Amino acid sequence: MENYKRKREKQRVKIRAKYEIIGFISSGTYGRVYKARPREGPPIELAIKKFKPEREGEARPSTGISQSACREIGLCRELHHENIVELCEVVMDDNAIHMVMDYAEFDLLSIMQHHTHHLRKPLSELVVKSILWQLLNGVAYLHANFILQRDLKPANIMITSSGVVKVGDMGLARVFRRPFQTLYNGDKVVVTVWYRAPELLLGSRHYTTAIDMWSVGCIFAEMLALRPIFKGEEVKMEKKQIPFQRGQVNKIIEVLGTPAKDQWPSIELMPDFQHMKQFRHYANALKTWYTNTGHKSEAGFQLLSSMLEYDPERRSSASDAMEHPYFMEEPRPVKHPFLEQNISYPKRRLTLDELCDAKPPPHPKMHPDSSMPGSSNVNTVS
Amino acid sequence: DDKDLPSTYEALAEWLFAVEQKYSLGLECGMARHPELSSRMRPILVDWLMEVSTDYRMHRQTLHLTVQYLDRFLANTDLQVEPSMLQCYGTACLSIAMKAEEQRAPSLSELTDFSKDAFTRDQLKQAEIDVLAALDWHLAVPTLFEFLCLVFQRAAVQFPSRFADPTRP
Repeated sequence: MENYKRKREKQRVKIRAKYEIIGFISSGTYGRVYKARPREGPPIELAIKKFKPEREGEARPSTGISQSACREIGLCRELHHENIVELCEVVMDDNAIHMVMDYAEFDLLSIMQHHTHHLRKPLSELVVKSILWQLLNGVAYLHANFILQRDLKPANIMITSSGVVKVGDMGLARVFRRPFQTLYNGDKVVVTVWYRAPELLLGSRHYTTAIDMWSVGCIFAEMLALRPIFKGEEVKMEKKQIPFQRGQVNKIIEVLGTPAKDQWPSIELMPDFQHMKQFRHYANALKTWYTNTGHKSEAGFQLLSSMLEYDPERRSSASDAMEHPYFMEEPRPVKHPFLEQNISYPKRRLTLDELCDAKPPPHPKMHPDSSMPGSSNVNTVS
Repeated sequence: DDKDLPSTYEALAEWLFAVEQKYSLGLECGMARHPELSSRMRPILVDWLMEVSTDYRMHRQTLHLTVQYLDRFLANTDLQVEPSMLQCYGTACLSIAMKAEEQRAPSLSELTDFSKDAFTRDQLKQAEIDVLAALDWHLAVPTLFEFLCLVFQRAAVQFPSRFADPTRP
């Protein structure tokens, strides 16, 4: 029995014995994220996601190890790709589980906000193209491994200081290895509303990798315009009923036009199709929208249109999009766009909490809080 | 003739084989590493796990994952599992599989009730940690069930007449 206990103790490495916690980055329903570095070995920077430990005497009866930790770690464990945040280690101490991951200095949201509020100029075409290509590369890898990310948005696209994209936050991700398996789950929704695909907005139970590609299309558009392309007002959930997102659908058809039957033959089969009658008719205005952003590449417009196809079956896949002529035309995408163009952004702002070891150097506040609809109000979904 | 099969079937089959190879134990189930366990304990435990899975109306995949976790735990753990703790570890595997696969996982006390208090909540909580450490968090590993789904879907496409009538032998 003594032997038993000793072996167990070995498994429980205290997180702070192994890592120096430099500062607190952000928090959500799952727990808190910290910046850290290992106490031994090369001086690299890491991110540590600490899942909320279960507190004794909580109203809900204890379910042991957190379900969101099992989901997220279980998925990330098999993923190794240069454009996906790497899970380096899982550390369990006393009550909490920690994911030790690659650290990225920026995320796409903070970079775009810095351009909007401080630089007051758009992202260069080289940067847009390089980020988009790497994002597609990461998403193509997830899809090839039968994983849907289900929450792609600028805040979840991590970017290193040289400009390498790392798709992060797999908290809502799901494997889809069994064809025909429904991914629908009662009162739960997936994807932050501005980036949510039309088939999801119309209540589809069976959805595919195309939902991630819609989000990528929205992110591409947002990089071009520095504002969300479909910034709909979210209808809040009431009485555990998923509401119809009228405002969001309206924003989409204002730009892309009312979907015609030949554009999306199965639209009439969507559970919430009847809601489509309440909108007035719009013509497709994406070309005008694109021209107004000041971008001229016809190939860029074609690529954007192919990712914002209404019909999920016709929407471009990530691997097809990577082969698009847009990426063959000058400027060609590069791996380290910030390095190449000598761009630097203010570093991530850190604060301190009781877990932190040291006082971080003061950084100017990078951006005011945005009014982004978060996915933090989304419950764990299956 | 494969031309009617969606291309994802091929890709999925290939992917499942590749991932399975990394973790598969073959016919080994790890019982032999634990001198105090006898080989007949595994079927008894699996029978009981099947019963629990029926009561919870669990998806088939969840049961298959549970048994796979159990075998891989027994094959990889540094701990010596005593007979009195085997059911506790089996339940921990079930609890983890439910968290990975089902919408909701039952509470620890529900699970101890199910086992008629053969172990305590704290023991179960510790067992979950022991299992996850032994599995090294590799939880999304293909199961027999996933291969069977694939085989039947292929067969249904290739021999539609045989699968048209579910009552036909």
